[in-house]
Amino acid sequence: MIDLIYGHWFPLASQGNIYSLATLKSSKGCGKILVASLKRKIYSFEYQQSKWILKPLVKELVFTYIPNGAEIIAIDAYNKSNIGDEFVIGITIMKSSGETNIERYLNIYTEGLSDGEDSNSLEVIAQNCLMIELSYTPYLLYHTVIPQSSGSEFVWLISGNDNKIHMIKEDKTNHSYTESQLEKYFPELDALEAIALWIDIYYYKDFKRRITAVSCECGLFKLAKVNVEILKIIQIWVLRYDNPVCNVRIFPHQYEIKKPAFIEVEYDEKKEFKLNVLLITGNVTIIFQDILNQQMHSDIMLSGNELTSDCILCSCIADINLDGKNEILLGTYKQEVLIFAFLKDTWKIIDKKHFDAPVHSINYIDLAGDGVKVLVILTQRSVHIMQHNPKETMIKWQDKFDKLALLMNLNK
Amino acid sequence: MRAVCFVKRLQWDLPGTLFRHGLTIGDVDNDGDNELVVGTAEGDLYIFKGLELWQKITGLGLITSIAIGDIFNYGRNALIVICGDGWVHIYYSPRSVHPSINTLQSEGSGSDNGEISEQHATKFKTGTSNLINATEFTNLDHRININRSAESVGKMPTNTKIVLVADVDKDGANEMIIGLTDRVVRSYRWSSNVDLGTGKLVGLNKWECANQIGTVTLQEDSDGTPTLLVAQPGGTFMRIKCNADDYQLEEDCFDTNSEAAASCVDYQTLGISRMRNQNISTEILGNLNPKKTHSSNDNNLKIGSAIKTKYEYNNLKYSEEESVMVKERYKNTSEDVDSVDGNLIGGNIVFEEFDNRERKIHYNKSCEYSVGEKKNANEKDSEVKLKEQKQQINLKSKEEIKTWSNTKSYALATLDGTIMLVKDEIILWSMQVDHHISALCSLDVTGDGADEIIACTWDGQTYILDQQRNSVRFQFEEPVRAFCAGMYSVFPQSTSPCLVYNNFFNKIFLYYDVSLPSMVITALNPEETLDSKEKNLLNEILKGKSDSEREVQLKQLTEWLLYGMF
Repeated sequence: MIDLIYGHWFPLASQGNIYSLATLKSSKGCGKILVASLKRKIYSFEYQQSKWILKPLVKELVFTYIPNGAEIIAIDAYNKSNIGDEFVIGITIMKSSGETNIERYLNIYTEGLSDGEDSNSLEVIAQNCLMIELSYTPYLLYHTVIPQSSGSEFVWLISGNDNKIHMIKEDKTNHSYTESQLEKYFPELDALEAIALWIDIYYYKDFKRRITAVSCECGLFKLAKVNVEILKIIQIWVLRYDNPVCNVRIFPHQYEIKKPAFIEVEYDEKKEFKLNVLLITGNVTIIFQDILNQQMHSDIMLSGNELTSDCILCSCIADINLDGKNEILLGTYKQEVLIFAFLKDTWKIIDKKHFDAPVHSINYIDLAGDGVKVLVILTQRSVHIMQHNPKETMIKWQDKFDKLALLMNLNK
Repeated sequence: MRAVCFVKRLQWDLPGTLFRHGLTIGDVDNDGDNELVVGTAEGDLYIFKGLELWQKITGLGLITSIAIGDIFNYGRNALIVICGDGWVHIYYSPRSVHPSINTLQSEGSGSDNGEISEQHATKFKTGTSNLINATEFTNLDHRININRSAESVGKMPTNTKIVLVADVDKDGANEMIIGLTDRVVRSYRWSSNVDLGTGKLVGLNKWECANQIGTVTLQEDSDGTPTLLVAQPGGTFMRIKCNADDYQLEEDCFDTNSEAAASCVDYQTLGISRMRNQNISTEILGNLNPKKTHSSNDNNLKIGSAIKTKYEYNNLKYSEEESVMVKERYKNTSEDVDSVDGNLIGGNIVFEEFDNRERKIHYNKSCEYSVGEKKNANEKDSEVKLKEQKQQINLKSKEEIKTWSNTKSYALATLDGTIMLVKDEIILWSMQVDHHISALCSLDVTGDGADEIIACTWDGQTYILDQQRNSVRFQFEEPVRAFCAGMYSVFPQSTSPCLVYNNFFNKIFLYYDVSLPSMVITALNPEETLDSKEKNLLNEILKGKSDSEREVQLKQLTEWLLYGMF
């Protein structure tokens, strides 16, 4: 059992979709979440902290250049800076003007030129818009990085109904965003010939290699291993399923959290590096284990009574039971979040949580800035913020702390 | 305000209209599990047990209020159903009946003094309940052999809006208290014969209020004396203090005067009531259990014992002065009632409607109680101020009074959205919500022994407040016709806090397991729980110089400990 308690809950004015939840990770500590609803309302959620007591704060943000009658398709956000907060928020909208004509835009909101104190607050960012008209209906809005010698650059990837994936890149000289040629940066995503529903890109070996996974509405699933330095596809796998593949995730067995530098203790951080790929199509969830070594040969289908009759809409990879290994969280149309853990060489369901509506999106992020992450669940009707029970977390913290104390003593 | 979403719920169809107090949770069949009982205006009584409808009894007329309690004073609960036609139906399960025999006793009699209603006492479950499948009983005919005597019907008031089963006169036996729509509160006692199930309801007391009754609730004084609090419009209430001795002559003379004189009555307008609409309807909820461990923080603990003795001493000293003062106050009251309304010490109106002489004595009593209490508190405040200059006295001393007097606090809510927590007529806090409050219940949702206040509004917003004013909101999506909260047994041998809503579309929703581990959410604060040795180690590890640096490092450490180090 995973003991989660309610941090907060708030309803949405209109429903969202699987692309409606975005997170803002601040380098300073507290994260925020952004939730878009179909009919133009966008909410931000954060915790206000006074001493150790958290007060939930939900704000409705007014983004400019979202005209009346427009519908929000997707929202995504990233933090450009490693040390400060330079948020960039992307929103794709659709507006029908006239009977046949549909306008579609990607609005990119970023901080203003003035370096005032408040230039980074979301309200200011929301007023600073760069608009790009799209000639296709956008689906997924995704961001990733292109490693460069001068530091990584963030780019947007948009999948469109023209069966292509488009890359939007910042043009720094003109202070604008323009579409660039995809094959120059992501040859593995070029010429997809299908509508991509989800993309996941995972860099490893110090940004020298990457795995790209893309899942499509037609049931196509493509996985590619790329040498980033020379932009050469090392290997590519293609599978086809009967149903749309709505979600795909590349994840290691455990996320690597670097030991903070100030802790003077020798700790062996070397762990087995295994990459797995999670794929969701209809009510079937498949995990390809250790793809780097075993390629696509070691696949497991998640099983359980809960899965046979239910459509899975979203997933999240998180170490939710704080055991050091990643768990898989699946959000279903049947208003449940199913939690699978890797136990004895197989994935077993360990818990399920019931919600008020079909689960559209899940995220696991530190909102309080205390180092403990909270689970954010977006359902069709509302947003649920679930916290770990502080008492249990504290017990685990204490255990680990004792362990650390032991290690430190040994080192002396 | 923090909000939560409860999703575990049961849902039943319920054709019919409910009165505000037409539903309650309690152990009807005395098996240790709590059931939900709902009575409709169409005369159908539904008993829900566990996951399903367990019993349905029809043809009761217009059910206006329901209570579960030990009305017979034999250690087991009975179900009291009060109907708009003046009939009281009492259902009970006899103790010593063999399961296979469906005996049914019923008794209805017009007694000498007439304050009797007809009861059909029906057994619906027997002693060895564990062995018996509940469904066997659902088909039983519960309504056999009903005696009606014409005169008895007329004697029971037909306008009951709320019923309460409690021991209000501290005689060890439960009474039934009913609040009527015409500003009258009455109390009855079951006078039993040798056979269980035969007997009669004897009228004890009648009190008349100045205004319409909101709700009636039981409240225990500091010395454990039960009193009745009757909510009055405008956030005020009437306190009724019953005295067991006054009942002795009951059977012989039964005129209204002696009835009314049998206890003392006082009116309380709490300090802020003047600002409000005087006609706004009010709910009241008494006997809120405080937290078991009372010391809320360490500082208070330290000074606590020292002050405590002082208080006791003061208390003695002041009590004498008090009585004098009260008498003076009383004089003023009788001369000019209006001026007393704005009484600075909590507003203590003494009200009179019956016999003058009688009242005078009672007034002194009651005033002594209420004003005296407050006076004491105030005086004590100043006393402590002198002694403990260093402390922020006002708050602290209040805290201390809390620990010192074991009075329970009570809550008031008005329709316009004000919720107040009051103790000894001092408003501890009040808060305003922007919804119309229709019902007030107490429920321990945190499981710490202290009662939380549950305020339900007409549009379904439900506020859960603890006695420290921390609040949590829950939104029931539909308008609410009737609401109650309690410990319900969804599964046998266990109870969980539940919220029950009746909407306007003939459905009952029961949210179960509505527990919250805590009313406030906190960030992880490792420093709080560490012992001194560990704290030193932590200080060693965190090398940051400034506080903010250390904070960041603590966060990194926490993250690494929880997610990285294994």
